[in-house]
Amino acid sequence: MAVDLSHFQESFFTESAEHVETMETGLLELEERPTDLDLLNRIFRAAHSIKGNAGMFNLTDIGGLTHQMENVLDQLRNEKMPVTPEVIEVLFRALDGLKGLLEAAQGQGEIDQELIKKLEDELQDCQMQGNANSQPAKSGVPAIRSKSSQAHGWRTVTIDWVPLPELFQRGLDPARIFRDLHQLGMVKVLQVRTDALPALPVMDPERCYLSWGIELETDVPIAKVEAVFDFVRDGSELSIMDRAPKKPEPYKRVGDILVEEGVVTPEQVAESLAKQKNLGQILVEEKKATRQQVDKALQKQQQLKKGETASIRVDTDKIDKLINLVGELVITQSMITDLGEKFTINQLPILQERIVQLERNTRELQERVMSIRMMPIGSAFHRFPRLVRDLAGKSGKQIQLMMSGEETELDKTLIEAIGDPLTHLVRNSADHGLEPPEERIARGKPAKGMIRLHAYHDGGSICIAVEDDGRGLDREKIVKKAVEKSIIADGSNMSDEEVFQLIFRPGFSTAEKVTDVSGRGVGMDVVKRNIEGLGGSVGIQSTFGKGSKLTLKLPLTLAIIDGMTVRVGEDNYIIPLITVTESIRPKPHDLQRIVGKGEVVNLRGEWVPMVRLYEIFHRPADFTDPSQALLVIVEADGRRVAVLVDELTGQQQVVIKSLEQNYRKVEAISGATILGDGQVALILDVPGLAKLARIGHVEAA
Amino acid sequence: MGKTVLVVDDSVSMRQMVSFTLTGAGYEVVEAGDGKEAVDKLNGGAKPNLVITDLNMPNMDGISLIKAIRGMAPHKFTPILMLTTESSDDKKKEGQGAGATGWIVKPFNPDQMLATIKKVMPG
Repeated sequence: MAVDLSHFQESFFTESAEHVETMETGLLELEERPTDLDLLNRIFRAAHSIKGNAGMFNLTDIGGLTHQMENVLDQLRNEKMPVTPEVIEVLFRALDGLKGLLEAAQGQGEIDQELIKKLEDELQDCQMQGNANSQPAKSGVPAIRSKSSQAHGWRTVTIDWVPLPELFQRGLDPARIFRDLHQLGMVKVLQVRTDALPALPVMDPERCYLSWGIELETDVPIAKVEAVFDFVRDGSELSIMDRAPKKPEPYKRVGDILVEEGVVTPEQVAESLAKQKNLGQILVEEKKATRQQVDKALQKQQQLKKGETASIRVDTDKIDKLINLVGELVITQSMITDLGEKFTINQLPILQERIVQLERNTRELQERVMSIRMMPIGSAFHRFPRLVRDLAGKSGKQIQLMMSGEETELDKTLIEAIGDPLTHLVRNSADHGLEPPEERIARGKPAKGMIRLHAYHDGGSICIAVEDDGRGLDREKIVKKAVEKSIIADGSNMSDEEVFQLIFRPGFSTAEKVTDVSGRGVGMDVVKRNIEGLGGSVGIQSTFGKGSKLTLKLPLTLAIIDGMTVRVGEDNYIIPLITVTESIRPKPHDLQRIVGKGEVVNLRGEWVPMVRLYEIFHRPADFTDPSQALLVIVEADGRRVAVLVDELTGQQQVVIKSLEQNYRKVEAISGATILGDGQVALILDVPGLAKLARIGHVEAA
Repeated sequence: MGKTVLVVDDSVSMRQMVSFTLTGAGYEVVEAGDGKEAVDKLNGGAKPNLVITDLNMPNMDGISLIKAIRGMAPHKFTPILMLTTESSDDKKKEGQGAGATGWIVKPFNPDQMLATIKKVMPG
C-alpha cells in the first residue's frame, strides 16, 4: 500500500520555519548564557525535529546538514565541548545554509552545494574537537549469534530464545512473536523450557520465566527472521542459525561504485558532477533562449510556486467556531426562506427580528474570518536580533535591541509586507543613527546604543515604532540641503515634523553624502512609498543629539475598512473613518480664498485647506456654498484637509475592491465598494486628497 | 478493526502524517502534542490499544511519558512504540529501559510504520 505524504510538505515547511526561528533566537540567547542547558536542549530539539521530518520527505540535503548541526549541539549539551563564540558562529552559518536549503526545497533559489559541503565540513571539524575532548561511548550493537551462508531457498532456521524477564512490562508478548514467525514459514518445533519457573509463592505473574527453542522452515531471507525479534533482542539471549544468502547490496550511485572499484577518485567524481549544468544554462549557451528570458521564466516559476504554497496556520479552535457560526447562518437563512414562502404582512416583526439575527451572524462571521488572517507581529520582529547582532559586529558598534508588543496582531499580508521597510529602518538606525562607542562616551551617553522596536494598537491602526538613542536629525542641515536641491524655498515656517518628512523625498534621500546631512541612509522614499501603499503612514520625531523615532502607522487589515459614507449630488463616497477628525458647517466669514494657496477654512484659528469633491471629480452637487453644506475634516500625514460634501449618510464597514485591478488608478480614489442598496461608492484616498490640497501650499512656499 | 492508537508528537506535520497513515489503515487515532497532553488524555479515559510517541518533546518528553504510562494500571501492558532517529542507539536503550515496546526509526515510510504497528498490536 503506497501512501502519498507529499501534501504534508506544506506543514513541514511552516514548521521548519518555526524551528529555524527557535534555533536563531536560541543561538542568540546562547551567546549570553552559554551554560544554559534548557536552552541548548531547545535548540537541539528544533534541529532534531527538522532532521527527522526532512527525512520523511526525502529532503536529504536538509537532513544531512541538520544532522551535523544536531551532532554538534548534542556534544554541547552533553558538555563534551564548551560553548564558544566560534562554535556559535559555525552554527549560525550552518543555520543560514539551512534556510537556503529550505527555500530551495520550496522552489526559491538554488542549492549552493559547495557552501553546504563547506558548512558540513565545519560542523564536522567542531565535532572532531568534541570527540578529541572525550572518547564517545560507542554504543555496542547487541550480540546476535547468527551464522549465515550462501544457501538459498527452503531451509530450516534454528532459533533459541531466552527472553528478558521484563518482557510483559514493555508491552511485548511472546505469542505475537510466534504469530509473526508463522507468517514467515512453518514452525516445525516449538519447544518450551519451563526449568526457570520458580515456586508458585515467589512467582511474579508479570515476569516471563519461559524460554523457547524453535525450528522454522522458511524461504525468506534471514534478515526477516531477525526482524521479528527486533524489539526483544536487547536483554534477551537469542541465537538464530541459518544458511541463508547474504543480504543484497544496498542501492549505490554510479559514482560510488566507480570510486569503490578504484576506477576514479572521489575528487574526479565531484569535478565531473560540478560540470552538470541546469537547463537554463544549456539553453542560453546553445542560444535557444536569452539570459533574460530564462531569468523571467525562473521568476515566474517562483511566483507560481509561491502562490501554490502560501498557507497559514490556524488554531483548530478558530475553525471550530467558524463552522459553528456557518451552521447558525444556515439555520437563520432557512428560517427566512421559510418565512418568505408564506409571508403575510403581520409577520413583519418576525422577519425584522430574523434579519437582525442574520446581520449579527454575518458580522460575527466576518470578524472571525478576519481574525484567521491575524498573526502576532512578533514573526516580523524575529529577524532583528540577528540583523542587529551582525550589523553591530560589522560596524564595531555596541547595540542593544529591545522589542516589545510582539503579541500585537495584524493581517498576515501586512506582516509580510512590512518586513522590508522595517529592516530598512532598523538598518538605518544601526548604520547611521547610532554613534560609535567613543563618540557616544564623549557625548555622555552609555557606550552601548539602543534600538527599540515597539508595536501597539492605536485605535483602528497598528503602530510600529523604531526608536534609537543616536545622533538624531539635524534640522538646519536638512533645510539647507533641501533648499540646495530646490525642494523647498526656505524652511522657516515649517514644523520640525515637516522638515524631517523631507528625508522621505525621492530627490532628497538619493542625494550623495546624505548620511553626513541627516544621519539617514538611502532609500527612505521607498520605505514611505511602501507603507503608504499599504494604506499607512510614516511619522518621524527626532531631537538632534538625542535620537530619532520613526513610527509606521498601518491599518489592521487591507481588505476591510471602517468608512463614513458621504453624499455629493447623486454620488456616494466613503471616507476611511480613521482619517476623520470632525465635521463642521462653516460660517461664511470662516472661508477665505488665498492667492496661490486655494481655498482655506478657519478651524479654531488654524487655516485648513479645503477641497470641493464635486470640483475634483467634475460631478454635480446639491450645494456649492460650504456654509450650506458640510465640511468633513480629515487628517493624513499629519496634515488636515477639509472635504466639502452635501451630507453624511452613515457609517459602515466596507470591503475594498481595487479600482486599479479592475479599471485603472484614479487620483484621490483608493478603491470602490458596493453599498447595501447595491450602489457603488468610491473610497477616497485621503493622503492623495491632502496632496492635492497641498500642491497649492508647496507652490506658494 | 476498531483499534485505537494514541499518537504523541510535538511536530504537527509528523502527527498529521502518522494519523493520516493510520486512519487510512482503519485505525482510530487520538493525538497529543506532548507527553503531558498524552498523560492528560489517558487520565481522562482514553484507552488506546497502542501508543506511538516521539522522544524529543517539550513539557514532558517521550521517555518520561513511557515511564508514566507504565505506572498506570490500565496501560501497564499497552504496547508503546517510540519514534526515533537512527543515530540514537542510546535512546533506544533508554526507551526500552523505561518500558517501550519497540521503535520506529525516522525516516520511515508508511508501510514500514504499519508493519511495525501490526507487529506489536495486541489481539
